[in-house]
Amino acid sequence: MSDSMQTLEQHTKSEYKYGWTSDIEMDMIPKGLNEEVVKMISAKKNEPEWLLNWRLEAFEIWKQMKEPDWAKLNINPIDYQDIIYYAAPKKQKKLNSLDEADPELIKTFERLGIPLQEQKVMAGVAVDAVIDSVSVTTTFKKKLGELGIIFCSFSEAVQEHPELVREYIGSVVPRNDNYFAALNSAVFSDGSFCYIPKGVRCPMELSTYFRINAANTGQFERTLIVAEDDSYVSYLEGCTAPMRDENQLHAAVVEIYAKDRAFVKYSTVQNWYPGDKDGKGGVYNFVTKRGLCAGYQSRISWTQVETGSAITWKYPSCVLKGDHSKGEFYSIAVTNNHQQADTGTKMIHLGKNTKSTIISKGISAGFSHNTYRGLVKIGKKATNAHNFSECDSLLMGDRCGAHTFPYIEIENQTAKVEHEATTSKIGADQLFYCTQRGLSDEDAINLIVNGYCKEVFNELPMEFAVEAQKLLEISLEGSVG
Amino acid sequence: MLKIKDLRVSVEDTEILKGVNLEIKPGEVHAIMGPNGSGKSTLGFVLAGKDDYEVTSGSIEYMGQDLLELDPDERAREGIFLGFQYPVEIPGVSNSNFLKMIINSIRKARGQEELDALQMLKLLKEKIAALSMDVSMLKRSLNDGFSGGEKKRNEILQMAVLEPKLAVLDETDSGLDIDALKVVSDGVNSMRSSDRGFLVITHYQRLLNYIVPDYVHVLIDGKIVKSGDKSLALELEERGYDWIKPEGSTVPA
Amino acid sequence: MSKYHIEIPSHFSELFGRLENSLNGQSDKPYHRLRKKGSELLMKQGFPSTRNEDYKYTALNRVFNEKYEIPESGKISAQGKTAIESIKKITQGESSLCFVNGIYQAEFSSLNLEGVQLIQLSQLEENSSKLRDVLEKIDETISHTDNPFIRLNTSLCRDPLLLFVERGVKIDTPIQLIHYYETENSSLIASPQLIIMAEESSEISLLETHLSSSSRNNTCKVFSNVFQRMLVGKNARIKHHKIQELNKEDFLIHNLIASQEKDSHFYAITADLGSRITRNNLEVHLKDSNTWTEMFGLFASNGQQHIDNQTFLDHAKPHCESREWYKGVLGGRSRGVFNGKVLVRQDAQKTNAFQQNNTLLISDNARMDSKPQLEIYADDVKCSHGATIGYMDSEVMFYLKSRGLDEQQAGELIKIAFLAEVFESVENESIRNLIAEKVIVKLRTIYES
Repeated sequence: MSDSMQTLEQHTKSEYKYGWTSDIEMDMIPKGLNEEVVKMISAKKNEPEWLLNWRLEAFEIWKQMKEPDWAKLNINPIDYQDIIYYAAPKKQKKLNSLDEADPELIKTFERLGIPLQEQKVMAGVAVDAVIDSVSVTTTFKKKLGELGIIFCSFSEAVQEHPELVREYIGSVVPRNDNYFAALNSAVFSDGSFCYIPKGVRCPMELSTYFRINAANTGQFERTLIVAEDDSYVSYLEGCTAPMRDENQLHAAVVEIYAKDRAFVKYSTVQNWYPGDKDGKGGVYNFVTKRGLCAGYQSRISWTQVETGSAITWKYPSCVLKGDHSKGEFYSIAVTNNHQQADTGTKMIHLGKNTKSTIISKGISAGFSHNTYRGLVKIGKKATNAHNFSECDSLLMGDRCGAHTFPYIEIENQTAKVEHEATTSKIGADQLFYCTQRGLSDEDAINLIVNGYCKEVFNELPMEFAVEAQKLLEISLEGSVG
Repeated sequence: MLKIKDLRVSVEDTEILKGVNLEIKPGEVHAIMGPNGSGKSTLGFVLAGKDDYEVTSGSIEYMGQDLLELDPDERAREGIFLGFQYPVEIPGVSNSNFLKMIINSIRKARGQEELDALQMLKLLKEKIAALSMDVSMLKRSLNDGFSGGEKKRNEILQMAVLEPKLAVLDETDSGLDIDALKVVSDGVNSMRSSDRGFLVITHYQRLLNYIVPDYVHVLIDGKIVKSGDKSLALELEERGYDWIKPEGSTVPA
Repeated sequence: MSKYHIEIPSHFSELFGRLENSLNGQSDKPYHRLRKKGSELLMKQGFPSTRNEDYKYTALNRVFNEKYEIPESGKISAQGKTAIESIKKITQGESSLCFVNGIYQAEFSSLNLEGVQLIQLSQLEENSSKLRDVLEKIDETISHTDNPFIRLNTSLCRDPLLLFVERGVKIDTPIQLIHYYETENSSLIASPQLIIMAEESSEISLLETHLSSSSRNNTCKVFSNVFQRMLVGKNARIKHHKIQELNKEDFLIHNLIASQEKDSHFYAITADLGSRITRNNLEVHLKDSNTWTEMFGLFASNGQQHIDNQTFLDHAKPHCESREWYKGVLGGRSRGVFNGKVLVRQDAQKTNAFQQNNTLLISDNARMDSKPQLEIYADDVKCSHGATIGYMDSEVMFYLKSRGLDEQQAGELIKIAFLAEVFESVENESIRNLIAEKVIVKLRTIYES
């Protein structure tokens, strides 16, 4: 092994820095999943009957389904009866200001760097924070309310805006879409809801922070974003979890509905606990994210920086139904140690003159496996559809794997589809060039990796980009090769 | 400042340098000439510390210390600069960002204060103008899509801002037209000083019209077979390398 | 049976018994053990369903539902003889092996090349080491393959052929493999099997053609299920060219497994112009370092044609280079599939692999599914793949028209130029011209609806 290899290896052996637990008193229901549990969750949230029935139907659908086995993942069998499906911080009374919140909770947020305090609020980020299963606080509500924007927890939306929730829930990701979507539909506990009225440009980034805290709990949040004609919103999502030996399950659903000329930008920095260096513990992240470009010239853009989770199974997708609609997917997926990621996107072109862009950057280190899996489908009626895909993989070390599995299905002759992929390692020449100019190996590697990911970082909101870059450096600390 | 003694170097079990001796004192400009495949570039890479170049025997002493003990970045911070024959492209890394990083990394090592953004810009603009380069190159990715001439100027720019003690320039003239060659040579000449040494590696005598060396060495088949002053370069230009080839050498001229 | 397979229909499982009965005492020969094993393994495995990832885009029900007869040996129509003679002329008829309905026809074949032996397996001494070697290779393949069609082929093959190229023998003129199919009243399944052993530093070139008779009852179909095993020895070279022009109701499943030793070169090109359904399963295994592999394919289809190219390249050793390029033009209601997988194992450092698939769709009802895949476990590699699917460039079209070409001429020129990039890789001039000629003729029949 060359010197630079060794440095690279040291570089990727770092510790998870978000892995503490909080001593917050929890309200939990017993382990296991059955109809009673579904009813109990619904009752705790004081839900209307239609939603209870919706959940129960989803539960029936889930029971009929089988876990998918086609992704390139090795998964320890999941015992769905050994999971707690509802856990919430006990202090559930309405809070008028943050001062009334549990001090432990505030401390948790501070450690997470969530900008809940006033000076950070000044930075112009509205935050909805979800710990374990419930949304704890939403900031900036009043200012958004003046514009007619609804940004609140999902449970609150069920109470306050039932007609909106009822109209759009399941409209993009139906309950029978896949195994984990069905599970989520039955037991989802909270999440975020966002509604942007006609013609409104949301003046600030909307942000949700998710954190799993209690042991043995699964997190099943649900996010629903509805963007009316000519509206715009940029939405951020961040995730962390404490270090635990056992695997925790996260099965979320995100639905985006974009009408005529609406533009929704959804950015994720996913940093769930990836397990230790021997592959013990870590979060199983099985997420269904999909946007429907329903309207003419609508546009949905997904950007993700995936550094965490023991297993990631996630394909943020766009259904391009409206004519001239546009779907985008920008992704950086970093795996280290024994992490496994099977991620990518689906771009389903149904409308005329639809366009999609896919930029995916995979980085594998240690013993990890990183798979890009994507589908580009041009339907029969999607005249003049264009897609451009670029999927690059970077290997650091000789015990990891990088795989590219694009599926391209074209049924219309006017389609123009281009897919390019490359796999390489950090060039020894590039490293030598940088070190010859006086940079240390670590700095040289970070510089090159950041350059490699630049196209995706450029899509992230400024503050998020800085955080994502740091996260990337931490994730690869001790290993690059 | 640099003493190379009986240096033997192998790459993948093939011996490239077969006993090189060379001494450079501060203020001197040495030129190494030789046919293709004689080991000129290898010498440059060994001085900069590239992996895969195995020193099998001999020694290199630099400023009183054993150079072979140092990693490439340590050597750079100690003042060794290698101007690459083929500068590497690094997509996505902006030139300005790279220049800032290397300048501050070397300043830090020298115990100088790091430059802030304004000072940096001032410095860069000044040097860029001197090399007849366009400021827009700062925004582009490092060497990515640069023409051959642009890359070479970028190398000289980096040398100018890093102010090395010993500059090794590997075929800096290759791929340059006459105007670019003048600009690059002016850049080098303006840096000549009594405390800085240069090792100019070149295949052709042309460059030495502009960067006039104090000494010229001819490297053939891994050995310095002849040394002299600048007139030796002219003689080589006229007569080629054949007349100077050692007995039994298999290297084509 | 896994959920990715369906049970073998009884009209298929009966075929083996029927063949066994017709073998007249040959069923105690050593090869029959492999037929039996192939048949048993096939029954256990089943046929692939579209739930199987590798058959996601190719439903073979049409092939499975047809009832086939096992061809008799020895009969050829006058028309067949004429067709075969005209194909022979392509290479001046020097070396050609003829197969009718998959069965080798010694009397129409000739092979007089020093250092090249053609052996019918049934003619080998039972205790000869060559026979043992060949049987071992086939046994190994049918035991370990996940391809049921190789098992099907082995269970139904009457007599495999062995082409043995001695050490250092270099043959430049292509050896022809002429496959001719004809039937009058029933559908047929052909099961030719060929093993090629190219010893150290030998070189051969092959031209394989598939053609079916034009006059026949339209309800009768030919299903040719070919299996070829090629062993490319140290520093040896095999060039394999294939042109397929079957009737528009026929099926071809072509299974070729090549393995390469150190410093060897394997080149394969397939030009698929005919058939209702073609499925090419091409697998190359790199057994040692410093090898060079080229896989090329072109297809031009119209009507209801379905052309599926599956390739698998197993980079198991360091310093190997591979290049793969498939291009197609799809018209009518035809469908094309490309599923290319490049596996780079942990030891295969310094691998250089390139894979590309480009398709032109020239009809509203044509469809292309492309799945270029890279699976990489070594870090010091250069691998890339790409796929494009699109229509003819309107600017190029405009340029050509502005130079006086009409729509059809310009379109033809573009399509030919598009496919030419693939067939220009053929070194042998007469084969290159032959492919070009056939492609041009085929393209004229492809219209935009």
